[in-house]
Amino acid sequence: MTLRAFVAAAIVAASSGIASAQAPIMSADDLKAPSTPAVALLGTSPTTIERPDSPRALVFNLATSVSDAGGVPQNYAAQVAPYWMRSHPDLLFHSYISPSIGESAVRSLAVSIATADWRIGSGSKAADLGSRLGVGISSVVLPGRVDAALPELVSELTRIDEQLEMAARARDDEPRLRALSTRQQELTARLRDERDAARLVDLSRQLADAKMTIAAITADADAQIARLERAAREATLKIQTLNVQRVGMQLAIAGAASWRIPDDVFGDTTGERAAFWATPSYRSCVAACGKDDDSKARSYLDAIGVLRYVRDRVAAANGLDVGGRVVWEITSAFAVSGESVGRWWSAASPSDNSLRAVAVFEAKLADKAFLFASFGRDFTDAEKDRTLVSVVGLNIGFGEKPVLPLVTR
Amino acid sequence: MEREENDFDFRVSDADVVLTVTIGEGQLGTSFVFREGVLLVKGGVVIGSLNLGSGADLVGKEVTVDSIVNDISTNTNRMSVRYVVENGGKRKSQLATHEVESEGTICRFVATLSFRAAP
Repeated sequence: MTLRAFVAAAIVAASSGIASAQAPIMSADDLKAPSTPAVALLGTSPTTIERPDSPRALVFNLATSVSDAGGVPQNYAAQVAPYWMRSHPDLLFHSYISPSIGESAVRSLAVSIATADWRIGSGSKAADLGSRLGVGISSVVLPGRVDAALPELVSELTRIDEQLEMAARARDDEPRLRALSTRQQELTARLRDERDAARLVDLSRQLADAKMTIAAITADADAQIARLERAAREATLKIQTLNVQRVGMQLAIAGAASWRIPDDVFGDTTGERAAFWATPSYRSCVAACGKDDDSKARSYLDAIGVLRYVRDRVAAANGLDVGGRVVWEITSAFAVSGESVGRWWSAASPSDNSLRAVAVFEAKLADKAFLFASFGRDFTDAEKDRTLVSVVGLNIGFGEKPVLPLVTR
Repeated sequence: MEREENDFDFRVSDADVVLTVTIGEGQLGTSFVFREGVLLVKGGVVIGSLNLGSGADLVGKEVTVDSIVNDISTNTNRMSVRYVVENGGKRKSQLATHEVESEGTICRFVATLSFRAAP
């Protein structure tokens, strides 16, 4: 394997999180700023990523992991969002949903840490050399904005909340209910103190009657409250979705570094890799954008830029990937996209440029079933023997992540 | 619907009592202020500077603030409602907090504010 091929494989492993003998096809999606850069840089696939939400939970989590492993925990990953580890009683909804650049950078800041076993060879020839440790940070500097449908949804939720409050208060203030509740409390107290068997039976019967009457009186109100609660939850989740699928200009950045710890002796730790990602993007609604339009017919255009720099300290090599992707989500069921990624290597070996340029069509057949077709050319080095990409396939929830949303809008 | 009930005491002078209610943690909700069971005002995330009347009038009476809070934030399930009472140049704040069990859940905050004469 040439040095250049080695660096290519290392960078692909770092970005895709899957280290394999054959370098996988790498797309613009693989080059986006990862949410857990420490994991991405190590190229591991931890079964779970711990997300403690308070300093106490963080300390407990770390202590438990170190104690269970008897040292450096293997294949461990954790991510903390410092801002959200404490309470913010003065954070208002408007500021939460429309943060400034500084507010967004602070609120979305996440610190990730990951560990992996450091082994060479496989099977009976495998040798355990120690551990690998990765630390990363990520942040969304430009958050974009929430879809224009937000004010209407907020008004709808406010209307539901008002009805809910009125229904709950009317239920609480029902005069018969008040009297029955008092009666229920009295009976419960008398039952607790009563010792006579016959009276106990009589009190139990009276208490059961009171409970049945309360249930009968509140049945209608409870049903109405339950219906309003469901409506409020539905509107709440719609607002959450709008907040996640933001439009406009966005910029996500991430950075990470990894180290090798020979024989788990921290004093002998040496640098392994470092990486930086920047993902600027612009998302806009291009058709059926009105609040009264069917959300499934809504059409979005996404322009995504990717930049990733990786420094491999072990091989003393650098890699830079720069590219872009344009996705036209025609409806929630059809999308076409085109992408181009250029790769530059500078290392002890001569630099060489290579390019991936691919067009993709996707159709959503069912909730987790996608038909896709892609055509174009791949990188000339890592994919030396198959620079032509021509794939038609069916994705049923495994493999490459589809562009189209898994959840129907 | 989850429920968070709190009783808060405030010592007030004869001057006007002004109440501000704020729903925090980036959550969305609606608040209703009742005095002796009569609705005074309803509002959204902030009910600002509501004049409840003179302190002399309020002593011995109860003001209830009923808030429906929705878990809008995908970052936290924490919720809070802050009650600030201003009277005679003094300001006292009380905070009610709750953490809902699951994403998108509603919590009803009921706070009973009682007023006693300042010594």
